[in-house]
Amino acid sequence: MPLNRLTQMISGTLWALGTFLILSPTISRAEAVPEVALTLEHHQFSPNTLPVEPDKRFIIVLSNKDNHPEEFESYDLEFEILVFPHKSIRVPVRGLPAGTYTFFGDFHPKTAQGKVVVSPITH
Amino acid sequence: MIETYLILTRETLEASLLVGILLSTLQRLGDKRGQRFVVLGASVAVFLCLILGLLADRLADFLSGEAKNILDICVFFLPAIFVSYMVIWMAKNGREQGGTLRDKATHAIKHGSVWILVMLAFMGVFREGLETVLFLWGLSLQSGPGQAAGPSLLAGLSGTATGILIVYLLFKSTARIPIGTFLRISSVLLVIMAGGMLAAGTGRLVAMGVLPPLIFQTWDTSRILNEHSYVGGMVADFFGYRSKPPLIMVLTVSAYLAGMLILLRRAEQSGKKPSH
Repeated sequence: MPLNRLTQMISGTLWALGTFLILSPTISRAEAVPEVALTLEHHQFSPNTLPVEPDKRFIIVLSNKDNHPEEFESYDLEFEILVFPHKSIRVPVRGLPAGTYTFFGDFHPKTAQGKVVVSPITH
Repeated sequence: MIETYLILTRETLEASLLVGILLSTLQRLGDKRGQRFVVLGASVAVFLCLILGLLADRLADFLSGEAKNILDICVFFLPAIFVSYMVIWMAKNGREQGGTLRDKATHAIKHGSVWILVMLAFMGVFREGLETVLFLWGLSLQSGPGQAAGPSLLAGLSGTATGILIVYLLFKSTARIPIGTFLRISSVLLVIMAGGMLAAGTGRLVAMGVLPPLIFQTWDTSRILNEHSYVGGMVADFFGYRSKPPLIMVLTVSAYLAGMLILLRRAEQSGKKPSH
């Protein structure tokens, strides 16, 4: 019965995924990662541009000052995290090549817009 | 107000599309029992979303935390596997030459795969459903001095109703399409949706540093279709469209689609052989 093979496939995938997911935060905790503060108020981000260095991991710390939940989301950076009213979240972001990466609030996409700008280091 | 309406229409569409496809497909296969299991899965999801919505204040840390992220990733990968299994199964057993149904088909759904239907319907509804509930909850919080929550909550609720109505009408209107064509369309749609889930899941793993991107942004089609437009956002959420995908995402989805094409061909051929 192919159902057995499916079950095997799923449990295999889950094991691999689980091991990865449990290990990956442990690896990332080894060194200090810089934090970038971001505030959401009146459904707008401030600052709406976050300058960061290339190829360095960082953590966006978003505080929601609104009385409304928001979904902090980015297609460019692939995250989608709920932030509750008057709470803050920490969003780890991988090292990025130079470029502009947009993020937005999925519940108020017209006003809640911002971007991460990675400019190459000039000597 | 209109924005609230449109956002909730979209969220609800996203939450109910998979269930819509499942229900109408089972309807066409004449499988009443399968339909009941889909409704069961979807209802449990709606119920759980409502409970989580009610407890949102206390569960904030969980719903914004790492555990939710891992849950999200499972909700991308598991349905993709289930959907693929179901589509291949449908190709194998869903129709005979000439497109009439085989008794064996519904028989197998009845005995083998009901739990897949329950899980699929559950996961299809759960993630977007939770967002919808939390958005509505947020609207109900807006009743500060001088700001009435009534109208925007009403806009939100009618958005939700519209989303459900659209899916309902969409699949009602497919009743006249011949069964063979219908199964083909729904299979293609399901495979593309599964590919989209894989794309989103892969993207998430790249973002977490679990998978290497290979090339971080392989190309840029944001001028043609941008995820931040209403349509682009829907295509992104339904079918995993990314204007600047990492190479590993492109490779994963291509390999998946190619693999499914081969498996479906083979399954259809074995389905055409007379059964013994």
